[in-house]
Amino acid sequence: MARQFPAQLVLFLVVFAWQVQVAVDPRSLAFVQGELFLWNLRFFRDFLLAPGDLTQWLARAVLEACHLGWPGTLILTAVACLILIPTREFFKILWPSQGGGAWMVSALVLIAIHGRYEYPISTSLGAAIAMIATVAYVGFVERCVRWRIVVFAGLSALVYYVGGAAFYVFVACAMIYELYRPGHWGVKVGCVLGAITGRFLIDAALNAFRPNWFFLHVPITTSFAAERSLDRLTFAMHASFPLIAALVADRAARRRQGTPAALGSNENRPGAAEEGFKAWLRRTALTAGFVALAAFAGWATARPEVQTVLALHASADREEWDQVLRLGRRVAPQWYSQHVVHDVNMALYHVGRLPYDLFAYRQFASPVVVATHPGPNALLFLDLDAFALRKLGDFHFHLGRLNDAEYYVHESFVRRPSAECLRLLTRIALAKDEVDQARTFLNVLRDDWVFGAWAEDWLRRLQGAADVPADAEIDAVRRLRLVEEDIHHTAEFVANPIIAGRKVSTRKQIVSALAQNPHHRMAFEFLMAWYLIDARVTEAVALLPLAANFSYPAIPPLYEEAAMIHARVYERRKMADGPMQVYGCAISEDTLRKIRQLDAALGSKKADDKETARIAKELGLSYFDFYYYGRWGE
Amino acid sequence: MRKRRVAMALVLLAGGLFGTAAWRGLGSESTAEESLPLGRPPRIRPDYVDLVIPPNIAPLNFVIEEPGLRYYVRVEGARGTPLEVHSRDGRIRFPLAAWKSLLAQNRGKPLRVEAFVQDQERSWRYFDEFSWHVAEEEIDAYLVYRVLDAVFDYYKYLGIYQRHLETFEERCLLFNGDFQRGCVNCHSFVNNQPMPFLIHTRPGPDESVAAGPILVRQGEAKRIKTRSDAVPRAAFVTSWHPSGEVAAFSVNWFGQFMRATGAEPREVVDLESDLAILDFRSGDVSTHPAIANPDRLEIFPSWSADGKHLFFSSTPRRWMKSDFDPLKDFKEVKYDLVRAAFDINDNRWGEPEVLLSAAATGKSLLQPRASPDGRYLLFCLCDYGPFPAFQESSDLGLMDLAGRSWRRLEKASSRRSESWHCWSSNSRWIVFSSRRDNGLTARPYIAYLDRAGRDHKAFVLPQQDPAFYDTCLHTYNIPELVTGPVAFPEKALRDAILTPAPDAGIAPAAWVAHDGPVE
Repeated sequence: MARQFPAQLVLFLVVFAWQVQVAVDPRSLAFVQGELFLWNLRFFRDFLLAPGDLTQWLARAVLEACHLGWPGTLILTAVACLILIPTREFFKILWPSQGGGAWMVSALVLIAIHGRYEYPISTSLGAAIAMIATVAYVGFVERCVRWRIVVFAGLSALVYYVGGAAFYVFVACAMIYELYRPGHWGVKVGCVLGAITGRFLIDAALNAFRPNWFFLHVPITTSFAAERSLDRLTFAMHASFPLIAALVADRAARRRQGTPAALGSNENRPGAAEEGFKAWLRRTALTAGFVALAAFAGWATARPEVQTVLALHASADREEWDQVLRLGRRVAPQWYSQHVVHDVNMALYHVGRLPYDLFAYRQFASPVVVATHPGPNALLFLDLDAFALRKLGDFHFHLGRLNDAEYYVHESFVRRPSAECLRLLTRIALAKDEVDQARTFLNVLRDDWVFGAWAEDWLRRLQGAADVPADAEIDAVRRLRLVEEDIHHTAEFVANPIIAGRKVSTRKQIVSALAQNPHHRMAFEFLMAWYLIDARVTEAVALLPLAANFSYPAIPPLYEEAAMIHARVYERRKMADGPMQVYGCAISEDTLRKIRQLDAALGSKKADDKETARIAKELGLSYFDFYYYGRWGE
Repeated sequence: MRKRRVAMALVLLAGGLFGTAAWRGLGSESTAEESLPLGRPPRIRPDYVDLVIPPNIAPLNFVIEEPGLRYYVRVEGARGTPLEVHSRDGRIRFPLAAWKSLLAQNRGKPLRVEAFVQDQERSWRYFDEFSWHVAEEEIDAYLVYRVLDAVFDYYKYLGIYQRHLETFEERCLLFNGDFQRGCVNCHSFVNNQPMPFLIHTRPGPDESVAAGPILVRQGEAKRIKTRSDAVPRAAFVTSWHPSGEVAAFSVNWFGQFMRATGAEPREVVDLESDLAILDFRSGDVSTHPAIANPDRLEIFPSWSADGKHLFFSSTPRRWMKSDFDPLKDFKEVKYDLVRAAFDINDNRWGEPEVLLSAAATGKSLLQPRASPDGRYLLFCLCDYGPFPAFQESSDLGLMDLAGRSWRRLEKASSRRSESWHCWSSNSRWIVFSSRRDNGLTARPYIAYLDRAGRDHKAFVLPQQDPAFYDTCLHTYNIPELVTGPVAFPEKALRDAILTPAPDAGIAPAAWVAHDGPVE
């Protein structure tokens, strides 16, 4: 056991687990890479049809566990262990006396590369399969020389089928072993031909098989698909093993040539005890140095700012709104994308703070994601089209625009099937009273590890039911459901040449929802937010009378500030000493006092907008700050 | 010692076998003789209760949706050995050979279906029996359909598949993953024969696949020219003349958008459409005011059984002719059911004749398909619009061409959309896409029309796994019945799909914004 798990390896795995759990966060990893994974045979069957798809299936399973947090960390650490133990064994075989330590280089590559969220987990799984196969092959050859070409070809075919591009790691490592091993060249050439044959036999066998309709995963069928899909991180990871192996084997060969006589064991030489202590000291120092280097590699490649953004998005998916707001304050300006704005504003709305704290967070462009165009600061390694469409679907669901929500979520689901999409589609179907449709989605979702229990619960509630049983969220959405068709108010017909279409305005959709239901708090608050961010104070002030429809204790200060800006800029009204009203909205004494203080601070001289904004910010006039300067961004 | 061991093993084996046999036997005996009635039919899915079924259909496997420990179903006809199926999870799967034998021996006769369930107290209960009436007439053995996701705007993968209706064998004919995710649609056959056929393609994401039809005939596949200066748009729905020498197709400019209200978000408007004729004898494409009236939109051509008439749907053209706003006035568009006489010998057209008007029915009348025996015209009737697949209100209607009387097919239709129907070659069976199961995804439904033209309850295409549709998120559309398997050179067809269209240089004049209602 101790031979398999030396102290360096155990300590490395601890550092690796810490890195994954704390610096990377398995939930963020699942958020970036996770796709629909269903624990059933029909879904699994789809992954039997192309080389490497079995590893993809395994990767999806691992990412599903990552949704749960620490179980994902444990599995990823176990995968690292499955890579490093055979790697270490292989290097020891290449250079029995000193090669065992070379695995540490692979370990450093592994920990560094895991700091990148776009690094596919399937690559690690493929690497583990390749290195296990390599050690199995080498172990076989060490014991039995006969049939080696057949075994090599068989293992090559197996690794290619299961691991896709990881096949090259296996072939390269095994061939390095063969090349540095004494033997007939014909056998070595035979091994290469065997690997090539095995690979193309698998391709031929899979191409001859025309499957029925796929369930939810369509494998890529083009030639050399696995090779074409290699990204630079996968390439780096895969290339590291044969490169290190080649170096180790080469060094070992040179050493063998230089010292033909076998060295005796240290323990048999005089002074062995003293040298043993030195060796222990050296090993300890090496271990400490290696662990420190691993920790440094993890720290250097970690991306805490990206992790904050991903954690925010993942929290929004889980509707942990307080957490979203907490993380929203920590997102660095260069990572503050339209998607972050969307999630933060949804969180503010859900906790009832949108009219109050809108400008406590960065705002630009629009209060929600409006298009699939990524905009500035977006995390480009995300599937942004599918992500933005899902966000839009969620927004429209809560807005009661159920058909629009259905459209956006379906569009997202076709691009990237996910359990989150299925769950949202289920809720939309329930709100539309489409019980059979909801059942279909739930029947699929019941085999998802994250939402399976939720799906089972809803299926139980829907058992034998013709209508949807009472549910607070569904009932709330239904109350907001659009009554009158408004497509001609919210969209513009676009005469595309083959299939004509429309250009939809999310803002107009909110306007229409509010026009049909003046008690629609979400529509009111988001429309106000839109106007405030656009600095369209006239439109914002015109909406103010509607604020009486909502149980605000008083007019939210942001709205009062907008009203005062309107009065000062557009109505050219002077500040009076007494109370003021704008569009029937009585401005609170507190807001008036702050504005008077602002005027006093600015004095009679005409201050520039930046100065006005600075003083307004100090006085707590956050919309003045935004209106005069903040909207241009800093 | 060794002998004793062998003897012991034999005793145990015999005991096990006897026990199993006794358990099975007792199970069925107690079911039949000691069970108590529940006084209602069983809840099963798919809904296969009281059907008329083809004598050559695959087993109607189903799930009993009743709580229980064990299930037992017995299907008995006037002749043959009854089918008996036991299940522990409610999934009833009939053995194919025994099923075929039972149906073959009971053509034209009813089968009794009895279902039993063992409740938590281990006592057996039986439900009211229901029947499957085996028709005399067979259904064409193969069904060709398109499978795709529930597409709104964006699609990713789709394919054309062929299902052997007598078994559960399904074969992929074309999958768009093989040709840059181009779109394939509107496959059409001559007189229910598997060859020749036409298939249409549209560009995928990288625009490498051309728009237009591909003719597959005599082991060859090639793109054909359908566009001309007079007909500049790519062909859409096609109908073969019964002679196989001429095909009629429509050229459309559709608009698609999403409605904000109603159960179905998707909405289609037809901005321009005309019909044209492709003459395979000469390769010429022609049209005529009878089928391409500049003041009207014509769509969904379908030849009569004798080839002397072309049926189609037609509505006054509003787009660019009035202040029609597609996003506002889409509900005003309703189509008449029209036919025009045609003489194939000299390509001569008669005057169009309205068979059934939208004004008289208050409905939009679409997708006419004449029965091969020439007696009936099957069509969709929905509240408005050109695309019944996206209309919740779309039902099937049947016109007796002799007397022009028509009626809605009450038993075959549902509260959801029915569309893309076809006839079997003997005119007794229809297959169509129906969204009745969940309103979102369409599935192929089969219904029987008896000699008097009466429709019978439709049933979904049976699957080997009776719970298949529970988790099926795909849509099946354009089901077409054919009498034999479609066998064609796959590579030749894929190559043809990837070749440029011979009429690629022809395109409609650009639409000018200020001519229309949208600024």
